[in-house]
Formats: sequence, structure tokens, C-alpha cells
Amino acid sequence: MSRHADSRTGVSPLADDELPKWVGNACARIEAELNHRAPFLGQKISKWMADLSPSGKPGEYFLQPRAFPLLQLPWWAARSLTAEPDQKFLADVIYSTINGYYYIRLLDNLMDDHATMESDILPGTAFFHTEFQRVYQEYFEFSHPFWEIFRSAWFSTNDAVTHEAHLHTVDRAAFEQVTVAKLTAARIPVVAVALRHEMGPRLRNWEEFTLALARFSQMEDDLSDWHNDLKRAKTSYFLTQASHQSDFESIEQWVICGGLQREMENLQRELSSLRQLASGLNSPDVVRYLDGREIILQTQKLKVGQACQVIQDVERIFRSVSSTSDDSAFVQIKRRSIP
Amino acid sequence: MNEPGLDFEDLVEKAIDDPEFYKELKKDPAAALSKSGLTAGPSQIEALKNVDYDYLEEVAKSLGYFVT
Repeated sequence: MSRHADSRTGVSPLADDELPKWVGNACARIEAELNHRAPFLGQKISKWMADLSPSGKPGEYFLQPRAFPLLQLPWWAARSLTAEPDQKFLADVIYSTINGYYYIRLLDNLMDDHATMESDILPGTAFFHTEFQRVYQEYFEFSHPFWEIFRSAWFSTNDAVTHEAHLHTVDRAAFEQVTVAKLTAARIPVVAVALRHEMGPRLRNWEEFTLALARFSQMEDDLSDWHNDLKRAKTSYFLTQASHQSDFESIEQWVICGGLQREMENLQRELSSLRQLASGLNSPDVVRYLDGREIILQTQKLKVGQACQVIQDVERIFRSVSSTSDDSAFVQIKRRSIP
Repeated sequence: MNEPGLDFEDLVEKAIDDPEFYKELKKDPAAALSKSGLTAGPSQIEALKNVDYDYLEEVAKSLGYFVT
């Protein structure tokens, strides 16, 4: 376990392996607040929080290796920007950020038809929004520049969530201005950490990195969700590109015959850009995170290449038979329309 | 005489959309196709028998796709 020790005092204020504990504590704090102040709603929200997480433990949902590192970013920033982070503040930032995330997740699930019990707990948005914002009121006075950044980022995220539900196609501009912009609020905890520790001049690098990471993450989401999106007639940048490939009979064919591999190359390029931006952060945590993502991506590229080859070989056999057969002998399954 | 054939894209769509069909296809391609009323040629069935479905599933899972 590596630690970022204070060179003057030898104090190791934030150990690598402490974040899961802090996240677990923040989730428990949400449930405790709800059970105290709104017990009926709280019981339902506790179930929703557990259901979101594959393990059933709310905190583990946020720390999955492929998830956008929403809570890691302020943690990494704190470790990079100061040798002695304000630990109570950082615990509050994590608590706030989880509340902000749940607010958006709840609305997003309702708007893109992922909802299970979200309509039953919609009033819970009042709790999530209040707790998301209230924490910062203890640290930044009304006239502090933080609040303008907070409003700008928070409104931008909510605008993007609304806008996305009305998109029929996602071109490059819409991807940047809507899909990526959905994660604009991820700036808020990072900005808060930098301003709290009076590290404003280094903030720009962290903001640029956060935005680039949001782009990478949304590209990855498009790729892992493409078939679900296709089934539910939901658009994405990846599917919009697929729909422009006139040489292929179907989306599935384009994905298997090169779309998947092409997008993985794009992800590789984004990862290289992230590495360049990371060089200005002075954060071993970020470098380690990107190293991990590189390994995952390289392994996936290799496996996808081999899997596509298998499928293409079978397809070739099918095509050679089909091209010599009477079409009337085929059983036709209705082909899905391209969104 | 030409071998009867099945369109590959149609097969892929059905395999993705119908988890039960996919499970049967994995176990016994000829039986799965026959049960679903799909007509495929001997070379197509042979190709489907040789697919390493577990590997394809492993790749799909590594990308985050849900495989039933």
C-alpha cells in the first residue's frame, strides 16, 4: 500500500485503501439521515440504493473498476494538492457527491426507461439535492466564487440530462455538448477541494482532466450499452455512427465487422490524451488509475479482435451458402430499424 | 442442388434477442434451429457447432454486456 506522506511530519493523512471505508460511511450517513428525518421514504430509498449495486452494498457501486471515478477524483485531487487534507471536509465532499449522483441517477433512470421503483421515491430528490448542496454551505460563504461554478456545473448537467432525452441522433457536437456534459457536475467536488485548500491556480488542470475523463467514460458507456440502446431505440454517438455505415446490412454486422474494434482504437487515443493531461496533475493516484485502465483496454482489444475473427469466419461460411441458395428457403426474422 | 441456408444477421439477432434460443443453440445448434423453425444448411450447422461460445461470452462480459 503506497501512502503520500507529508515530508515534514511523516503523517500519512489519506491511505489508498481508506476510500472504500469513507464511501461506505457516506452511504450509511445518507441512510441514517433519511431514517431519522423521513423514515418511510428512507426505507424505500435504502432498498433502491442497495438494488443499484451489484453486490447489494451501496458503497461498492461507486468503486467498480470500470465506473467513472466520481468519488476518487476529489480524493486524488486532495492527495495531490495538499499534504494535509481537511479530512472532515473531504468526508463531507464524498457525502455530498453521492447525494448529487443519486439525484441525477434517479431522474436519468426515469427519463430513459431504466426505472424500477424510481417513480415511488421521486420525492427523494428533495433530500438528495438538499444534502448535495447543504454540505458546501458550511465551507463557502454566499459570495464565494465556488457558488458560481457550482450553479454553472449543476445546471449544465441537468440541462444535458433533459436534452439527451430529446435527441434522435448524436453527432460529434451533440456528444460533446450533451452526452459528455451530463458529467459536468463531476467538476464540483474537485473544484471544492482545490478552493478549500487554496489551490485555485492548479484547478484548471484538474478540470480539464475531469472533462477528458468524462468523454472517455461516456464513449465506453456507449460501447457497453450499444445493444441495450438499440433494443430500446435509444440513440447514442456510437449507434449514430453505425447508422451512417451504408456498406452494412445491419447495426450488428457493422459492430462485429469493425465498429467495435474502431471504437476501441478511439478509446485508446482518448486514453493517450488523458495521460498527457495527467502529467500536469502531479498525482500518482491518477497515473496508477490510467495504468489500470490501459491494461483493461489492451486485454479487451485482444479478446475483441479474436472474438470478431471467430464470428466473421462463421459469417463467411453462412454467406457462401446463402449466396448459392434460393431466398425463399430462408426464414426471415424481421430486422430491427436503426434509431 | 444448392444447400438450403440461413441468413447470418437474422441468426445473430435472434440469438441476442432470445436468450432461450441462444442457450439451445449453444448446446445443440441443429435442434435449436429446427425447434425455432429455421432452416440451415449442413455446413452452416457444422460452423455453429465449432463456435467457442464460452469464449464469446467471456469477451461480451468483459465489455460489460449482459449474457444470460
